[in-house]
This record gives sequence, structure tokens and C-alpha cells, in this order.
Amino acid sequence: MRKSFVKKPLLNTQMTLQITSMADIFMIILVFLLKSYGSGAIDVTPSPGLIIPRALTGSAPVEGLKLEIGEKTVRIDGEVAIAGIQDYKFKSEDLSANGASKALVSSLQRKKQEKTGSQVIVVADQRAPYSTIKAVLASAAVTGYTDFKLAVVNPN
Amino acid sequence: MSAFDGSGDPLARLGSRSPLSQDFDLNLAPIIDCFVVLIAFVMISTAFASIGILEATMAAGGRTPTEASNGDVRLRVDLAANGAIGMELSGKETRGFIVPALPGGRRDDAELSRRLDEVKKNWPGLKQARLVADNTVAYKDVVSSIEVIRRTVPGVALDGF
Repeated sequence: MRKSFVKKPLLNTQMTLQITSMADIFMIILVFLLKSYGSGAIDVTPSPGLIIPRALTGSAPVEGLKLEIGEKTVRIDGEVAIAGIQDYKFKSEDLSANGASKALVSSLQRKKQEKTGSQVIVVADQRAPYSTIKAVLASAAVTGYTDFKLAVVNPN
Repeated sequence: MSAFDGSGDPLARLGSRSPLSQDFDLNLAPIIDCFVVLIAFVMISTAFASIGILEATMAAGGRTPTEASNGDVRLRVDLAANGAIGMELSGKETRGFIVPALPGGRRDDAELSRRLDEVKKNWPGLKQARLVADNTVAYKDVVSSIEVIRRTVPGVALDGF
């Protein structure tokens, strides 16, 4: 009988998955995500369809009452305060002589009783006209919210 | 002879995995499972768009009532609906100029920045500017102009109320 010099591969079906390196990778991903999660931004969840303008900022994120100006609604801390606006514009009968919205002022007054502080973060759609922004700021100022911050998307 | 009659090597009888053995494999499978769940959770709940804050005050009624004057000059920037930008200096120097709109009605932020640098060079104490916009000007343009002005003049007060 001839002896073969070709070494046959070992048919070992029992193998051990090397998962130490996988654990290392997961650890790095987790640390990265947790870091970007923690150092990130203020807690702003814009409504669907709302586009926040982009701008470079140097200010640290702050917390305050969130006033969101959308195409059809104005929200205070996520709750709909005014639902009757059209194309980002308040109805003319809702605006008082000082430019403030009567409905928004009454909603803000109710909120003021629940939540103290004077900081307002304006989260407005980039298509909203300046007249609407003015009306919202005037309403906030009338109610005692006088420290305004504009929420923007940092391009970096 | 029986295996349990006390003869022979007890470790060999029990195999290599004896309770006294220092050689063991850490079971990483549950840790990997936890990592997968945690990474999925963090990725879903993370908002990757970083929200920043742009400081702006109101020319009247704000937290720090804006003194648009520093004792020397006052600067007012007007955003027109057609894309032009008006600048007006008053006080010790009275001057006004217009930055015309670019083709297509876009605002010429580069020219605005250049003009602001020129003003700041003459009046280094200028710390506040008042920004007035036409009612129809989009918020995006207002924010963009605030960003440009703040590069030169640190304080911007929204006006026109």
C-alpha cells in the first residue's frame, strides 16, 4: 500500500468563536455613543415637518420653557397651545395692540403658574415669518418670560 | 479496580475542568448580548442633530434691556423683504448704507460682514446692534443675519415690536 505524503486537513467540527475582540469593539462603540449622548444637546424634540434653521453657536445648552412655532400650531413644552394658525401666521383678531397673541398669553400665564423661571427657548420653523416670531416673543415678554434663546441646529 | 477506589490521579479522573483549576474561559456571550441591546437603545434614542442656542435679546422688555448705544454710536441693521440689508449708524457718527441683494434675492452676508468689520474698526466699543426685519422675512434669514452680526458685534437685540 502506498503511503500518501499529502497531509489531510483535520476535520474538527468543534470550534470556539473568538469574541473578545468583538467585545472590545462593542465597548468602544458604546463609550462613543454614551459620550455623544451625554454631552449633547438640550432636550428638544421638534414636531414632524418642523425644520430648525442652522447656525454656528458657542453658547452652552440651557433648559427652559420650549416654545415651538410650526406651520399650524404653537406648542408650549410639547403641548399644543394654539392650533388655529395658518401658514405660520396668527389670526389678526388674536393679536393685541402690543403685538402679542391673546391665546398664547393666556396659555403662557397658565404655564407660568406651573413652572417658574424666565428662560424661553424658541424652536421655530425656518420658514416662519418674522411677524410670527415677534408675536411669540411679545407674548412671552408680556407673561414674564424675558430671557430668550433661539434653538438652532449646529452644522458641526 | 474501580475508578472510585482512591487510586490514580483525581484531577485526571475529573477532567481538566476541576474546581481547583486556575485555567478557565470567561463567558462573554451575555456581555455581548447586553452591549448589543445597549448600543441599539442608545442609537435609537440619540438625536444626532446637535441643537445649539443662539443668544438674542429684545430691544425692549428683554432680560437685559438692550442699550443699543455704547455712548458713541448706535447700529441698526434692517432686513428688507427683497433681500437687501440696510445699515444705519447714529450717534457720534451718522451714516447709512445699503447692502444690495444678490441675484435671486439672496442676502449678501459676506458684504454685510465686511461692512460690519469696517464699522467695528472705527468703533471698537460697539457691543450691541439692533436687528429689524420686515414682517415677511423668514426666520431662517433672521437667524443667519444674527449669526453674521455676532461674529463682529457680540450682542444682537431683536427690534421692530
